[in-house]
Amino acid sequence: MAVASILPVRDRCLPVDEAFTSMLPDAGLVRGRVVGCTGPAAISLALSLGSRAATTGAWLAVVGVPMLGVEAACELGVPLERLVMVDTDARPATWAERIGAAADGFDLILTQPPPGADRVVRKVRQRLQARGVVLLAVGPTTPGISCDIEFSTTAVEWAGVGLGHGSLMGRRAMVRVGGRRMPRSVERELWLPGPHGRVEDATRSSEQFGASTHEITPVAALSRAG
Amino acid sequence: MAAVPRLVTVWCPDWPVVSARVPADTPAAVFRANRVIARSPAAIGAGVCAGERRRSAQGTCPELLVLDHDPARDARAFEPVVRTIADMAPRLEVVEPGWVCLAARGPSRYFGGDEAMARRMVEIVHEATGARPGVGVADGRSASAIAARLASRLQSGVVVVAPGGSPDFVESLPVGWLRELGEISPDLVELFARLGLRTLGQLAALPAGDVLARFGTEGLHAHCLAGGTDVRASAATDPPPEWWVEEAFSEPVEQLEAVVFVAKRLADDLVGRLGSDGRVCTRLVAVIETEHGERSERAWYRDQGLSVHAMVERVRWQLDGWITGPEGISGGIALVRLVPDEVRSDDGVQGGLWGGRSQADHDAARAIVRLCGLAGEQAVTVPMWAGGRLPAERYRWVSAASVDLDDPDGRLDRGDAPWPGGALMPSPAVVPEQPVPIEVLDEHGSMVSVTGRGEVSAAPAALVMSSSRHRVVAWAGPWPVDQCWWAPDRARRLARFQMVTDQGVAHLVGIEQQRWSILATYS
Repeated sequence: MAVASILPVRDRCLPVDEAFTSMLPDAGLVRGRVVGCTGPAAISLALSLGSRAATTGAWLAVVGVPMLGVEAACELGVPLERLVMVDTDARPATWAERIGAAADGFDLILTQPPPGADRVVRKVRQRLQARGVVLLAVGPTTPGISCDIEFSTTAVEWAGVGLGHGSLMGRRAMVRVGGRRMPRSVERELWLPGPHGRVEDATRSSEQFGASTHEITPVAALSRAG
Repeated sequence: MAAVPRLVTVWCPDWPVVSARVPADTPAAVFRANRVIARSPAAIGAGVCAGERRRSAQGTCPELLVLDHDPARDARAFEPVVRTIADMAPRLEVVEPGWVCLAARGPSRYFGGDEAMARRMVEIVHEATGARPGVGVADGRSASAIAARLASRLQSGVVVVAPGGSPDFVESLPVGWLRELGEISPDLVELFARLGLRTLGQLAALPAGDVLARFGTEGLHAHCLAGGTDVRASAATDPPPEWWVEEAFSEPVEQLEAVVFVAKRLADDLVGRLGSDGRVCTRLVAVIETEHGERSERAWYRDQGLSVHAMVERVRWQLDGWITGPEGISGGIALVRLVPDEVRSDDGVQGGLWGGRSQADHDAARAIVRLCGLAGEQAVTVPMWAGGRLPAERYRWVSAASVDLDDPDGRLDRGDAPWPGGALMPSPAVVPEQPVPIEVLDEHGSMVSVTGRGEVSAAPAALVMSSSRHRVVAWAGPWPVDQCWWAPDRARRLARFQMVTDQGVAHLVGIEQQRWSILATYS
C-alpha cells in the first residue's frame, strides 16, 4: 500500500488500552493487519483489544461469533451502539464474502474463522489492507488463519472463587504476543478482566486489587494448558 | 393566527394492540424498550398504565400477555383504515399507524358541517376495522390531536372545537398532554409540573422569550403547543420542486428488499441535500408505481422531521400495506419517488450534539445496508436491552434494518432500576442461545443435586460434557432463581453455580429440574 506506508505510524494505528501499548511495537493495532487471539480467554482478549478504538468512534462488526455475550463486551468497554452482529454459515466462501462486505464500512472485525478459511484468506487480506481494517480472529487453540500478530493466553487463574464460596472477581492470565510482525515475542501477566471490569496490567495493579476487595481466595496455580 | 389550518385528526387508541388481534377480554400490552406503549381494554381494566415497566405491569396484572412492538404489523393492519378515509378525503397524511391527519375544509363542506363529518368518519372507520376511533376537529395540528384523544374516551367518539377556539380549548388541560403528543420529552413535561405549571394555560401565559431562555427550543415548542397554535406549520415553506428524488427501474423489481434498498439511497440523498441547506423534511410524499401503472401515493408527517431511517421505514410500511392489501399489485415495482412536501429550518431537534454522524458512522451505515442485501435482514443484527436474570435473557438481537442506528438510546437504555438477583460481574463472554446439557459429578462419581432449599448434596468435582471430562478446581454457588412462579408456562426455577475447570475455563452452570447445563462460559 503506497499511501498507507507514508502515513505516520499513529494514523495507521487504531488505539489500544494502556495495558497493551507497551506490548505492541507500534503501540496500537496497525490497520490492515490480522490479529489472532487464542486460549481460554480469547474472546475477552479480542474485545479488550478492540474496545479503545471502538470508544473513539470505530465500528465493530462481529462476523460468525453467534454466542458473543453482549454484556461482557459492554463491561470490557465496547460501546454497544457501534456493535453489529453478522451471521454467516460454515462455508469459507460465505465467510469471506461477509468479511469483505463488512470491511467496506467497519474499522474492526471480530470473527471466528470457519474450518477451511485459510484457503480464502488471501483475498480477504487484500481487502482488509486496502480498507485499513483490523481483523481480530479468535479460536480456542488456533485462530484458523495465518496472522500478523498472535495473542495467546496461558496459565489462566481465577481470583475470588474458592471451594464453595466467593464468586468470580477477576482473571489473571499470562498473555504472550508473537507472530511474524513481532520482532520478538513479549509475555506479560494481565488481568482479563480485572477489579474494575477492564483489562489491566497485573504486575502494576496487584496490590490495588487486594485492597479493593476483602476476601480473595486465589485458585492454586493451574496447570499451563496448551 | 388566521393562517392556522383547520384539521381533522383520526386517532385509534392503542393501535399496536388492535393490530395484534388480541381478543378483547385478554389482558395484553405492547412493549417498546421495556415500557408499555399500548394496552388492551382488559389490561386497562386491570390497572396497567402506559409507560409502565414490564415487571411492574406484570406485577399489577400477572396474566398479562406481553407483546413485542412491531411497527410493520401496525402499519399493515392500519392500511384498510387509511384507504377508507382516503375514499372520503384523498389528501391525508399518516403520522404513525393509528394516527391520521387531514384538512377539514373539503370533507366538512361535503358532509354538512364538522360535527356531521366527524360522526361519519367514526362510522366508516368502525365499519372497516371494528376499532372505535376518536375524531377531533380543531384549528391546528396539536389541538386537533388532543381533541381526537379526548374524543376516543367519549361514547360518541367526536370532539369538535369551534373555529378560533383552540387556545381556550387547551387552556384548562393538564400539562401532561404534551407528553401524550410525543413531541416533548417526558423529562421536560415533568419539570413543568414540578415548577407548578399544572395546566397548558399556565404554560401558555408565560412570556415566550422567558420560556426560550429557560427551556431552550424544546421549551418554546411546548409553549406554542400549549397556546393551541402550530408554529411549525406556519413556518413551513414550500421546498423548491427540483428537490424530489426518484429512481425509475429499467427492469421492474419484484423483491421488497430491493425496493427498500433503493428507497434508502434516495432518502440518504434527500436528507443530505436538505441537511446541507439547514432544513429538515416534516411531510414526505412517497409515490410508488408498478410496471402496469398501478400507483400508491401517501403522505407521511412527522413533527420532529423525518430522518433517513424514518423515511425508509415509512416507505416500507407503505409498500407492505399496498402489496398485502386487497387489490395487491399485478407486476414488479417500476418507480419510487420521494417528494419533500413540507420542509422547515432544522432547529436542532434532529442533529446529534457534535454535528450528527461522523464519517465512520456513514461508512458503517452503508456497509450495514450492503450486508443486509447480501445476507438478508435477519442476519445483520444489533443488541437491544431486554432485561433478565440469566445471561441469555439480558440482551436480544434485533435486525439492524428495523432500528434507527443514529439514535441508540431507546434500544440500549437499561433504565435506572436494578435486576435483583441478576448476573454477577464480570459477565460471561460466550452465551449460547440454548443451554448446553452436561453432568456434574462429585468425587465419588455420583450426580450432584440441589434441594429445594438450596442445599448442595456434595461438592462438585467434575464436569462431563458430551465427549470430555474436566476436573472442577473451584466453584461457588448456588444462586437460586425463582421467577414468574405465578405463570406456569413461563415459570423457571433454577440454581446457578460458577465453576472453574482445571483448564482455567470458568463456566456459569445451572441446574433446572435436576438437569445440569452450561448457561454461559467466561471465555
